[in-house]
Amino acid sequence: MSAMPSSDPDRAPALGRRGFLAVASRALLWLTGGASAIALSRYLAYEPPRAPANLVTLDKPETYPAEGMTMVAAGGAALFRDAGGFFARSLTCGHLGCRVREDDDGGFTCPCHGSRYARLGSRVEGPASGDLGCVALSVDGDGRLVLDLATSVDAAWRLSMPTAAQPHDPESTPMNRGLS
Amino acid sequence: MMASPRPLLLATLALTVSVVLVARRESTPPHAGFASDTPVVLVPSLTGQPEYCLTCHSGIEEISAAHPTEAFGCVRCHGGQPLALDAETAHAGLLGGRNPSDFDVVEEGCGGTECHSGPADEGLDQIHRSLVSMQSTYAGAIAAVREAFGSQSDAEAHFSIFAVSDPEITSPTGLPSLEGFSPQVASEPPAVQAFAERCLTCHLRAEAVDQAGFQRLTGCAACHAVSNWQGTYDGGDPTLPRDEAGHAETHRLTTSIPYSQCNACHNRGNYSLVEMEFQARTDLPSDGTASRLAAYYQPIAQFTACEEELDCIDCHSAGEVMGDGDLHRQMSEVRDVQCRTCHGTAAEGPTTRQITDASDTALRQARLNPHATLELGDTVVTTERGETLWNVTLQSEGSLELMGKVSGTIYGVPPVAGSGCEQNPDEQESSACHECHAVERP
Amino acid sequence: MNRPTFFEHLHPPFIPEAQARFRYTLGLGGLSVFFFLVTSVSGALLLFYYSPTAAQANASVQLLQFHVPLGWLVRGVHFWSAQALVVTAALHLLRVALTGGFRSGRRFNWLLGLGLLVVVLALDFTGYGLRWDASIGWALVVGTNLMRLVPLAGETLYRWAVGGSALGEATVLRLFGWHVFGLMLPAFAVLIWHLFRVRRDGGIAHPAGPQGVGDSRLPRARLVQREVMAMLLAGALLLTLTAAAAPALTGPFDPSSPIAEARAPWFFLSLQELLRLGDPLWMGVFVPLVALALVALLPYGIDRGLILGRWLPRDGRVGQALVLTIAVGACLLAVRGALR
Repeated sequence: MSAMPSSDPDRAPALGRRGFLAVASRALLWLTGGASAIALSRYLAYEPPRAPANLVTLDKPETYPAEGMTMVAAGGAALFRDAGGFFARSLTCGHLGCRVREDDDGGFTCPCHGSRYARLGSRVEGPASGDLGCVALSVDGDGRLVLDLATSVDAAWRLSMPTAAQPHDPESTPMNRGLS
Repeated sequence: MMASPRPLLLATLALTVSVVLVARRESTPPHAGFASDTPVVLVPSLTGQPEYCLTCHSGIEEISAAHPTEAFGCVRCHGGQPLALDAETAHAGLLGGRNPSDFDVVEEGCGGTECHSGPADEGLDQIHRSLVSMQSTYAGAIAAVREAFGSQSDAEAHFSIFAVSDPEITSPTGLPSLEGFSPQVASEPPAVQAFAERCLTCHLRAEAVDQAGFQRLTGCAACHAVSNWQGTYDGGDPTLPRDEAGHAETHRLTTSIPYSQCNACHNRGNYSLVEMEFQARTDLPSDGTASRLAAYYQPIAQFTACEEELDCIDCHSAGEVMGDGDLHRQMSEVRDVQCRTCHGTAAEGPTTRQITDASDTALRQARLNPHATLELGDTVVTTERGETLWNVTLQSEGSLELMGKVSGTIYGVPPVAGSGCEQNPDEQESSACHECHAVERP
Repeated sequence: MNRPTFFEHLHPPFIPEAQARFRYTLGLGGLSVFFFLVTSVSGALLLFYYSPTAAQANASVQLLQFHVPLGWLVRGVHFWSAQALVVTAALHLLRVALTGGFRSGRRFNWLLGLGLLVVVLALDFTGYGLRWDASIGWALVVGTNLMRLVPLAGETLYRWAVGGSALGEATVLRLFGWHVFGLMLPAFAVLIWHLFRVRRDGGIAHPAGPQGVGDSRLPRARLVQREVMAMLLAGALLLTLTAAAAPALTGPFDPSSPIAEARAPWFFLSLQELLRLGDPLWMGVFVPLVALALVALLPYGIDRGLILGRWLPRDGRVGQALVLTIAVGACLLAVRGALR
C-alpha cells in the first residue's frame, strides 16, 4: 500500500514506497542497458596488433642505375635516382588509396577515378587533392637500401651516395648514412 | 500494475550485482598483480607475431646478446601461446617446461639449420655434438664397469645412457651407434645393476641432485646457464620465487662458464667400485663459502697454479667438452688439450695459426665473449686435433698470452723451450708436469 | 487502455493460472528459450573475431579471451548459456515426460522438442570443436569416428561432418558452417514451430474438466512480467558464472602430439562411459539410438494415460519409469566419467 498523501496542498504527492521501487528498478535497468551499450561499442571497436610492415628492404645501391626509376611493387613505391642521390615516391593515390600505375608518357595514372601524376609525383589532374607522397630511404647494416613507408620527407630530399673518391660531403642531409 | 514491485526490484538488484562482479573481473584480469596491468606486447622481427609474455615476466633478463629479445622474442625458443594472458593457457605447449634446451625438446627449441643444427664444418652443429658427447653417453664408464664385472669381454663401447647413432663419422675413432643401456640393465649382474641405478643418474638429461652445490639445469643449460650454490633465481622476473632450488641464477645463457658450474657435477666426490656408490666429498662447508683453492678440486687431486687460477673452459675447449660430433669409446679419445698445447715442449713451441678469414669460427666464438679482443689477423694456438684456442694469442714480441674467458684477466704463458724445465720430452702427461709444478693444498 | 507490446503479443491474452504456476513447469521451457536467444546473440558477437581456419582458430579464441575488450565476457556468456540451455532443455523434457505433457494431441510437439534437444547437443558439440585446442581435439576424433560406424550412412555422415576423409584443415570451417548456419537454421525453425504448436495445442498441458473451468486466469502482462523477472535472474546467473569461471582454453590442437587428456565434453561423458563397456557400434550407436527411439515413441504407444497437468500421474508409470531410468542411468554414467 502506498503512503497516504497528506491533505496539505503545499506538499507534492509522495511517490510512495511502491512507486520508488518501480522507479529504482527502471533506473537500474536503464543503467545496465547503458553499460551494455558502451560495452558492446568497445567490444566491436577492437583492433588486433599487427607486425609493423612499414620497412621494406631493397637491394644495394650499386645495383640501381645512376639515373632512372625502379618500381618497387612490394613496397608500393617507386625508387628514383638522380645526380643528387636516391629518393622515393609512394604509389598510393592521395584520393581514396588505390595503387597508381605507370602511364605511357612517363607519369602515373590512378585506375580508380582517373587522377594523373607527373613523373616525379606532382599532381597533374583528377580528383586527388595533392601530390604523391615522398617517403624516406636509409641504408641498413648490410649496405642495402631500406624504404621507410611511415616517414615522410619533402620533395627535394635525397639520400646521397658518396663515391669512393670523394670525402664525406659536409652538406649531406641528416638521413644520409652512406656506405661504411 | 504489478502485484508488488519487490520481486522485480530484487531481480534487478541481482542483475546489478552480477554486472558489478563482471566489472570487477574486467578491472582485475588474470595477469594483474604482476609488473604490468596493461598487456605488454613484443613483436620480434624473426616471427612478426605479437607476443604478450612480458606482461607478467617484465623485468626478465635478455637471454644473451646473441639472441636479442627484439629479434627472437620468447616463443621462438620457449614455445607456448603468445597471445594468452593467463598462466595456464600461456604456458600450454611450453617446450621442456622452463628449459627449451632440455635434450627431450632441444631440436625444437634450439634447432634449425640456421640455428644450432647447422653445418658441422662451421661448428654450428652444437646440438648434435652435445647429444653424442661423452658427457651424454657415458660410453666409457659403462664399458669399463661391464668389462670389470664380466658382462663384456672387451673394452669396446656398446652402450650409451640413451640410444644414439651417428651416420657421419669424421674422426678415426668414431663409432656408428650405441645401444641404450636401460633395456639391458635387467640382464646384468647385480654390481652392474647397482652401477646403473646409483651412478648413471648424473648426466645431461637427468635432473641434478637436489642438494646445494649440485645445482644445475638439464640439456644445454646444464653448462650454459649458470646456477648459484643454492640453485635459486636472483634476477628480475617477478613471477619466479626467490627461494626455490632448481633455477639458473639469472635468465642468461653464457659462454663464460665459471668453474663452479662445472663443479655442479665434477669434483663433487668419488665412486666406490666396491660399494658401488657415490661418496660425496666432505671437506666443503655446506653454505658454499669455500675458497677457490679449496673448492676447485677434490682433496685427492694434484694440480698446478694455472689449473686453479684459470677456469676449466680456459683450457678445456668446446671440442673436448661438447665433443667433435662423433661417438667415442672413452675420454682419452676426445682428450685434446695438454700442458704442451700452450707451453710447448723443450724441443718446440706450440702450434699456431693466423686468422685470415672474417668468417672464421674463432672470431665468432670470441665475439660471444664480453672480454675478448680477437681480431682478423691475430695468431692463435691450435691443438693437436686442429681445434683453435681462440683465447691464447701470439703477441707481436713472440710471447703467448692467455685471456681468462670468465675473468678477462690476461696471463702470460711461459714457454718450456729456453726455460729451466727438466722434462723428459717423451713424458708429456700432466702427472709428469705435476711432479714439480703441483700446488700445495692448504 | 494499454496496447500490448510486440513481446506481450507473442503471448496469449490470458493463460490459466494452473499453467503458469512455477512449481508445475519450473519455467524450464521459457528459460530454454531465453538461453537459446542469449547464446544466439552472444554467438553473433563472437562472429566478428572468430577465425574458422585450422591455423587461426585457436589464436582467434585466445584473442577474444585475453585482448578484445570484454571478449572474455561474450565468450563466457556464450559458453555458459549454451551449457545452461542443454541443462534446462533436458530438464524440460523430463518435466514434460513426468507430467504427461505429451498427451492429448501434443505428441507431435513432443517429437519437435526431442529434435530440438538433439540439435542443441549437436550445436554444443560443434561449438566445443571450434575452440580447436588440445582438450577437444580427441573428443572430435572419437565423436566423428563414431559417426563412421552408423550402418550404411556412416561414411557419408562422416564426410558431411568433417569435410574430408580425416580431420584436417577443412574440418574447422565445416564445424563452423554447421554450428553457425547448418544447425542454427533448423534449430530456429523448429523452435518457432515448437512454440507455435504449444499455442495451437491449447497451451501448456493443464487439468481439464471441473477444476479447469472457472480457474483464475493470468493476464499476459503479468505473465510477461514473470518472464522478465526470470530473464533478469537467469541473466544475473550467467554473468556471475562468467565472472567466476571462464571456459577452458589451451594451446592449438596438434594431432601428432600425444593425448594429454581424452575426455568428452560433460554432456557426452555418459556416451564415453558407454564406449568403455563394449563394442563401439553397439555401445556408441545402437544403445543411444534405441534410448532416443524409446523416448520419442513415449506418446506413441508406450504411454496410454489421460491425466493432464499433474506431476507423476498415476496412469503413466511405465513412461515415467522408462524416462527416469534413462535419465538416471545417463547421469550415473556421466558422474562415473567425471570422477575418473
